[in-house]
Amino acid sequence: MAERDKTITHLPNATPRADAELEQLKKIWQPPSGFNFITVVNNTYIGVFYVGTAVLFFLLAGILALLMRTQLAIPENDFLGHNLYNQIFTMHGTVMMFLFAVPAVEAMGVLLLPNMLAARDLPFPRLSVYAYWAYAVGGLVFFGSLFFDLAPRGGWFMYPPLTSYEFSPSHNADFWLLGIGFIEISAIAGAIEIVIGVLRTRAPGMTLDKMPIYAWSMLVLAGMIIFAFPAVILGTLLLEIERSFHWPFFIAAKGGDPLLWQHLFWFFGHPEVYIIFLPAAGMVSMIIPAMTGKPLVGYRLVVLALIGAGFLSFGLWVHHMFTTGIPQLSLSFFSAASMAVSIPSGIQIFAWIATIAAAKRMWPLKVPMLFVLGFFFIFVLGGLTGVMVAVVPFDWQAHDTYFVVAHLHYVLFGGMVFPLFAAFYYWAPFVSAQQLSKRLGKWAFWLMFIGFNVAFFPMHITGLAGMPRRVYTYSEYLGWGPLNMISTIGAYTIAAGVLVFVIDLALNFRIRGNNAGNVWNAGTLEWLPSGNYANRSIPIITSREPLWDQPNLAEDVDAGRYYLPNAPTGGRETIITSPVDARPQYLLQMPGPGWPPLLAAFGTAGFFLLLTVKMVVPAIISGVIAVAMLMRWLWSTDPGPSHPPVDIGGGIKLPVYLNGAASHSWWAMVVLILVSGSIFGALIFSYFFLWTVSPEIWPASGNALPAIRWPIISAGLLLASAGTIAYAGRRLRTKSSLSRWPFHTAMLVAIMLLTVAFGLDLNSQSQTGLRPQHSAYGAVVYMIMSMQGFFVSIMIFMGLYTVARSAAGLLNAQRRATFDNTMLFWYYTVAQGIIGLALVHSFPRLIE
Amino acid sequence: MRASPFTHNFLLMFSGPLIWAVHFVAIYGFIGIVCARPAMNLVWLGIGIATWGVIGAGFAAIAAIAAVYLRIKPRDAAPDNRSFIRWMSLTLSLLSAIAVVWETMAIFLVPACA
Repeated sequence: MAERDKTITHLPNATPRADAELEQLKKIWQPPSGFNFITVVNNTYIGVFYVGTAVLFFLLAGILALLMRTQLAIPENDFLGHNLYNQIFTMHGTVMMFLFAVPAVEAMGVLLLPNMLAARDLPFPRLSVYAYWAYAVGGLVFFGSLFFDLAPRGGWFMYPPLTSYEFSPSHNADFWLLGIGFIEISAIAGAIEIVIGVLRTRAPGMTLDKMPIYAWSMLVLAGMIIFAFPAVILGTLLLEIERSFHWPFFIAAKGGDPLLWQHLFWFFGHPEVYIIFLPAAGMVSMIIPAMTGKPLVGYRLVVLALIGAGFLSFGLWVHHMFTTGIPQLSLSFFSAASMAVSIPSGIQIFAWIATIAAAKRMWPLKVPMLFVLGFFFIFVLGGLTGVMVAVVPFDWQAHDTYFVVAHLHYVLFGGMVFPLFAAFYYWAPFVSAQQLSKRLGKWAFWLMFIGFNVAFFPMHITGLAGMPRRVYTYSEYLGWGPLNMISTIGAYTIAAGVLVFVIDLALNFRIRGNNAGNVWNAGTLEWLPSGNYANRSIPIITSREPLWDQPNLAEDVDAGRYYLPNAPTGGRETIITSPVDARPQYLLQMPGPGWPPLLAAFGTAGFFLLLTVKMVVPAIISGVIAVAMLMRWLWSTDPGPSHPPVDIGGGIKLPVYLNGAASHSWWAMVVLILVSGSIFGALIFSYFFLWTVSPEIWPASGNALPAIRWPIISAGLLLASAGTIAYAGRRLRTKSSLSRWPFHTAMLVAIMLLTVAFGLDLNSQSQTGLRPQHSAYGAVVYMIMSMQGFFVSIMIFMGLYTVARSAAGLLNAQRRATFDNTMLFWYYTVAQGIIGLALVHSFPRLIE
Repeated sequence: MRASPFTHNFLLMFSGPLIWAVHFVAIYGFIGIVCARPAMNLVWLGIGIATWGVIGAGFAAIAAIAAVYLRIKPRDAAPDNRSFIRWMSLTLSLLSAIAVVWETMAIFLVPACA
């Protein structure tokens, strides 16, 4: 490795450092003790809670799988009735996908990313806390619906019309639709955290070409969540509104179409597969170099593969809908994209094989490597059957049979669960004071590997023999009994392997404030010596494997010779760096533990779940608690330049606050706008889709529409409100705090203009006699207005909040992130409103 | 208004897949509408508008991918990063071009609205 030595000749800080500095760091980053410990915000603790909860849901959903396999072991079994079986298979899929897989990959990111990037924590620690607790509390209550015969039973993809009000009148489907709501919020909160964390908190010098592959994979994951989850958010919203208020989005008799749900669901659902696979692939790309002692072969190709797969995975959703009557040519586009995505997947496999082929030290095989090899075997088989079902005529035969069950488990269990177990064994010493057991790990692997193949390989044959998915029993004469019995034996063997892993955790996983250290002699930064404050100092990075290539790095970091060896503002801090070249830009002051995010999470979960069972008043109380706690939490943000610039070492003085486009909060707002825009984009797609299906319900002439003057006036008012906000921004920038009333007046006028614009449009549509219950056209028009109404409500809230901050003297020319964020979202709301008006009022006139 | 170095460089890196995405949505939407409205399925030189549309979209997408790669360069980045961004832009463009070609070829194999 000598030829790749990257020596830093001038370290930024002189040593020895005063002992008091380290003591101060320890004290500042110390988690709270006693009962208050649950308010902890440090990523290492929240990360462990998060991963642990995801594993708990894996175990619970696994138990459901065993119940199903017991029921199917023999023909005509009466162990489970059809109603309970339907609830169990629905919950198995839902819990595995929404409560285990997505949270688990985000949780690993929360746990690992800061140390891997040499940050002290993620940029929004309280957002992580909120995301975690909303997920944990909401998820457990959602799972509990099984014990009250209230669990959903429409399959994890909940197709209408089966799940709409006519065929599923009870609350079961609502539990899925609203219960998934908080999980979506949690996932998006996590994605915002990950995007800003990866782009803005990297160690100085960690340019894009030196980012760990895992960080790239998490960046791609977060980007995919931002653009994929909005489709299912909109879908769940539409279906819940159809169920509750009878707006017929999916009812064919009124011009709706059940296929709209399938489009929205699978536009999320297929990228979802990559949302959980790509981070797992990122983990594998970290584990293999550590196990082999060689840098990953084809780093750039692997980054290419991650990004390429992330994009192409958005062109695959219809391959779940090959049997729905879509024109053959359209199916072929998706078939071609399904073939194209195998290129980046193949690139990664070959890069891993090449790295293993170049191994310097791999024998004897260690437990993480065993799971990685198991992943290769299983995932490649899953990929091959994936190519088979990407061929349209084959899919017509195999659709909805156990062949597909086998394929998806080979892909998901092989592509995500095996790498995740490899990651558990690999990164356990990063958290725990001791490694997990090699002996138990090998037992766990072999039981899971053999069990998996015994369970799922026969399902290919069962499917080809004609056994459909989701049946709770079958007749003996069909001949599927022996194959099902083999699958059931395999399932119990997997469970035995998982049980061994749980025993291993119980015996060896110990969090005592110190970890086992770099037991694998790995090269990346998470293996630097660390404590609750992460690294003693933040290093300069000149290589992709700094611990291999930068001599004395661990010692220098731990001695405080790099940046920020202390806490110059006296609180929690990390360095914000530029997104491309990772140059230090400012010092981010970070919050410590507190109750508001925790209580806001409880309130959010309570709101959704109580609403599900139509307990409206408790739901509102819960919602008010959530909003009040969010307000309390927000009030302490935007501290302004509360401290003079600080010296982090090497002659670099950083400001402690920046506003505008350089601010991390601005970036978070931009991400939120992308999410909002994606939801609105999915709604526009729904409008056009319904028109394509049912043009006859669109107004036949302009007479059925409001007079054109009304949308023109509304659009004018929207533009005027945006102009007023721009004026307020200029006023805030140039005038002293002594003349705050023009700013306040401008904000209040802007709120009024926005509200009146919305009210006019609503009134003009209402005057035409159009009602959302009458047809899918009415439903989608009112949905576009409702979406705008929701955003207007948010802007009223944000506008008044901004005025309150100003009145309290917390907003001025320098301390203005609150206003900047409000302004950004305001412009978005105005743009959305104008696009909505243009669509609803112009399109029917154009097609007359 | 000039884009920030981050916006410029990331859009450049992702230009190929972004053009692919626009192309994909365009051909899927176009075929969906043409097939839902048989009256729109006009014929020119003996070839249906669906075929012309998909072939035209394919050429346009490939041309756009090539033009962006050839005309736009990384900005305000360290030398290592410039080379990385350029390489990533090239290879992602190639991958996207392959996907566009495969999707376009379907028009020669499958009837448009069957």
